[in-house]
Amino acid sequence: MDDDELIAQIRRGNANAYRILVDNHKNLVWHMVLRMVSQQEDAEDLCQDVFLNVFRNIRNFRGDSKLSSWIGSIAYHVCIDFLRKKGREKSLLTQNPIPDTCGITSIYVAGGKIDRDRLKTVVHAIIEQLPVQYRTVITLCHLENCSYKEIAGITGMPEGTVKSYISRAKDKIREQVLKQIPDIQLVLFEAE
Amino acid sequence: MEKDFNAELDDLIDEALRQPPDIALPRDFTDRMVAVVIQQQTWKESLTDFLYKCLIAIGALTVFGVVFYFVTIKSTDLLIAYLRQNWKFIVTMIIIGLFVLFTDQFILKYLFRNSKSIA
Repeated sequence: MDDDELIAQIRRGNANAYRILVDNHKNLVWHMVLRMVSQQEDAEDLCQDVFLNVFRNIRNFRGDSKLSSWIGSIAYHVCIDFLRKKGREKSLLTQNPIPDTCGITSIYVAGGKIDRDRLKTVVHAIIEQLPVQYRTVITLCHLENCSYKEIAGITGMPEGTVKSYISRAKDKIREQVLKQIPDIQLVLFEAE
Repeated sequence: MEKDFNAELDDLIDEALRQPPDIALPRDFTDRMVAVVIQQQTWKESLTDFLYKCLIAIGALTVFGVVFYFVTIKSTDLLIAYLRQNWKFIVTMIIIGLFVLFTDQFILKYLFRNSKSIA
């Protein structure tokens, strides 16, 4: 069933079509929401809000963009509204100080190789401390494989800003990885 | 050498970024969403039914009133006097009618649905 047919069926009140829509897009919404709000309980409630909004507004979907982009933009705005209401935008829309260790003291295992799981944990901890816009664009770009155009459509940011945020976010992550694991260079070369 | 290191580090970071979060949505999330939506649809249908029935009742009462006027009263002054004299009765009947309709369309359906979901 393609997107047009799916939407038509949902508009007719077909609950199974809605089930397919939720199944197809729940990972996109979950990843976005979880990265934006960071709290599991809040994220679950917000995911519900997103899919309820999708159901209520499906009649207004004109098909100008992909269905996934439209759902993504609803998720983005629901999260931004939530953060504003919570009064946390000051801390979340601006950069937080990044902790020195993220709880990880070493990313090596015996044999001088990098433990990729530990590095993942370090990177995820660094991402959580980035400003919310950076977290959103980097999640959409890497986790959901969205194009710059799609990310711009979801977030309402110009494409140039999206590119710049992704680049700056990666720079910050790289900078923090090097800061927290200064001898990573040695390990990488030893591994070679 | 520096270039190789940066490329390797970028690859490692990209790989970490592509990893989904460890926490997953509850397995029954889709079922819960569908249940919520069905419930909302049912309420919407109940409300629509209630409004249609109200409109039909109002239409029937209007027709009855017009017939009653032309057959029995035939005078505006008499009609006003009749309404003034019986307004309490008329308002009470309308309230009872709406209450019965509301109970039938909302409260009973709600109780019935709840007992079904408990069972």
